[in-house]
Amino acid sequence: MSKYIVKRVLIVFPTLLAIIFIVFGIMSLTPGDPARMMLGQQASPEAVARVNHELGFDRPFIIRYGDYVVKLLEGDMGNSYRTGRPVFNEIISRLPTTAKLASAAILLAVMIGVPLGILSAVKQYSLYDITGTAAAMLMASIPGFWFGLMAILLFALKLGWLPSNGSDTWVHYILPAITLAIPVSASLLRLTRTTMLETIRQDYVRTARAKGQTEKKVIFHHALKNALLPVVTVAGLEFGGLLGGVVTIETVFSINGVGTLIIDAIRMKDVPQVTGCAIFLAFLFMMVMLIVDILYAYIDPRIRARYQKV
Amino acid sequence: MKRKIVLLLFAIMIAALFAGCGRNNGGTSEQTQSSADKEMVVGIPKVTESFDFYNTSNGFESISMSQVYDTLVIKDNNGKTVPSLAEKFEISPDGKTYTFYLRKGVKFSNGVEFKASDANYSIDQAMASSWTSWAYASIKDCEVVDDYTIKLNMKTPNVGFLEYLANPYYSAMLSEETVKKYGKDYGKTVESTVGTGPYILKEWKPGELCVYEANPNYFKGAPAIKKVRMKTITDVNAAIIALQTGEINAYFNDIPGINYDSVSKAEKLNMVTFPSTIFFECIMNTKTGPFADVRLRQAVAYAVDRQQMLTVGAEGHGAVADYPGNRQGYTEGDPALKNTWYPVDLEKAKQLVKEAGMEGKTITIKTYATDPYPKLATILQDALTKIGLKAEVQQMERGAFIDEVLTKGQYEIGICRWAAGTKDMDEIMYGSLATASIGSAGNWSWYSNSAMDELLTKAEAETDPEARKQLYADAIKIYDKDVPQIPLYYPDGSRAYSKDLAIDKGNVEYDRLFDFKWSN
Repeated sequence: MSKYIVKRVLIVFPTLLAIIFIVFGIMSLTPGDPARMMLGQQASPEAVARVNHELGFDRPFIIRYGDYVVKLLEGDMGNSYRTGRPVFNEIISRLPTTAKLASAAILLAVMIGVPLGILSAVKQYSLYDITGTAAAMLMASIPGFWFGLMAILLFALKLGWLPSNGSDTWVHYILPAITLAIPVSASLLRLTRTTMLETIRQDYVRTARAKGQTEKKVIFHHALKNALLPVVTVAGLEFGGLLGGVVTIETVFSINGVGTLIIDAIRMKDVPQVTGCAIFLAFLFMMVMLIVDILYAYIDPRIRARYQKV
Repeated sequence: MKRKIVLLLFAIMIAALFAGCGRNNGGTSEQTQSSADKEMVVGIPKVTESFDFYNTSNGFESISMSQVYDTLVIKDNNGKTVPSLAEKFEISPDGKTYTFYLRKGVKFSNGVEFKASDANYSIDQAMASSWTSWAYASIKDCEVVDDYTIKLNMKTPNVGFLEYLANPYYSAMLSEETVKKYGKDYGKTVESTVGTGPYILKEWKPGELCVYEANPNYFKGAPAIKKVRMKTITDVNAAIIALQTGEINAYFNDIPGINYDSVSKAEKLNMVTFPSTIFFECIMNTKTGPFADVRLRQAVAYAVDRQQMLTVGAEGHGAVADYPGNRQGYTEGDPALKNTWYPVDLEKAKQLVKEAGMEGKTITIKTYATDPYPKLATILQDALTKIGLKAEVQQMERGAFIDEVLTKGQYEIGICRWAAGTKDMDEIMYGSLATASIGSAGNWSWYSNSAMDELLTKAEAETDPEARKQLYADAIKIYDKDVPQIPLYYPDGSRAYSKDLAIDKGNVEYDRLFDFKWSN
């Protein structure tokens, strides 16, 4: 098992190198330069050239890329062109907000999607199942920003129960977390239903039933663990995606998270900030997936046994 | 047992998740506090990332910075430039020397007195800054006469220059001692942010939030509102909702035309409109390509319906423009001419296209991809099609547009806007039409006419207001003949704030917290 984890961690490095190259490349090949974006349209060409020089942006792409990688190996992600502050600090200052939002959303999604999915599968073709899956289809197709705006109009403007923007207290997280959780819970519901349906038709479930186990025990003890495997993967993927920041939801609810940080940085052509964010998020995403894989082993003894043989 | 541990861990995880965000913001405007110490909450599109005025990009950010700083002169509620940190100023008869007599006894928030050396140092900083040096192009140097007097010496007289000194963006007065003490870290923390302004910075999350407290020793008297929280709300729709729910008391950005009705009718809100300094224009490459031919430019002038542009671009809230600076009489030096531009006449336009030999030829319109540019480009496309041209619209990302079109001139015809820093004819006329301003400096049409240059240079230095207006009137005649741009419109600026706030309407556009007070 530990050998597997080490292998997985090692893969992280070449992946990150490729990501840096791609992000750096895109930022360099697209027109525009950071100094012009920062100084504004009326700044003199001399001032633009001076600032580009100070930022080191006037050097050839390959030199800047090499320089960046070397510094990164020394643990330095560079300073933001825009604010002059270390890129790492900028990300860390925004991460708690995004992490809270993503965690709350994924918890909510799992708490709604999985139990309803199980119920849908166990009571297949019942009225509940039909309405449940239809509602899930609807929820998965509603755009998040629209749902967010509607939720704000109802709960903040009409009823005055919840704040419409910001991230000051936990109450501020309720609406954005629900907005993010709804489509994720819908896809988890459908996935749980499908895998659960497959599992309860397996021989060992039938055997359990034949042996006179109660339905509750059959479902929760025998079937659920196996049925949940793909659900864990998808929930992990969704969580990783949410950590990358959800620009539209952050904008609608005026939350200063990682998503808005990246968008601001892209607009201003802040190359170190964009690259830093990409690396950081890629790393985080890979770590989340690693944890998901380890969870797999925990949930499924067959997988655990396979690693133990290695 | 194992299950219990897992449950316990899960509970701890959830508790930890929200532990950090349990603090009360104590900041909504609905709180029941006595009116005197009630906190005002303001939304702006972007709170600043740095308080080092001359070393940071600032658009909306400057609103959050300027509350702690002051300028030598200031705009009053009639739009006139009046003394502020300087108690009076004199301009020499030849217009080449500005003398500022500073107020005595003005203190920075750290208790140190503001003196001529600080003013001199601040202007030196602004002149050296990559962000603001262009505004000081006509200044030779600044000198200290005595502790309370400074002199600005100009290379060439420039009547409009005083406007830059009234705008904190270009001329905030810093404390020399503090800037030198903190060096590169100046304005990067609450402690290192020191000004003479009406408010003192108390808490700051870069890019997110500023909390200010009234400066009790402010030289114009302590501000009426003692505590202010300013936060970033980028999305204007989110801000409008927050205004309506009472989560914010004011929003320091324009309300889009489409929301005018709902906001102005909202029970708890006031809305004020004013002529903005934003000028929408259609630029044409007069140097190369099809629009180097003046006949084709005149054809476009006859084809474009500016009223339609205003209706679509700003829901009709604003005024059609006849020339740059034609800001409903609110620009210094504006001769306020009426109906000088081409009427819509498609027949004449078609004739001119034919004469230029461009019938059926394809033209590319370049513009930004953000609202309202694509809509304006579609109207232009339609107009060009009606006069016998074929037109394609190319929407571009902001950086690409600035680089290709505004900096390098790689375009035929485009739509963009000029957001002026001052309200003086010189900035926009010289900036967008003089040969010296070609390219990134603002003459995006690559237009060059020596007669125009001469008039604009004369007008820049002319101290007699009437003679200056006449010079601009003459320049506008050349503008009409040469058609380097199609002037489109000036949209209205607007601000919304809650009814429990009061402010002189003439001050609304400046976004100065000092001008507000509680109405009850």
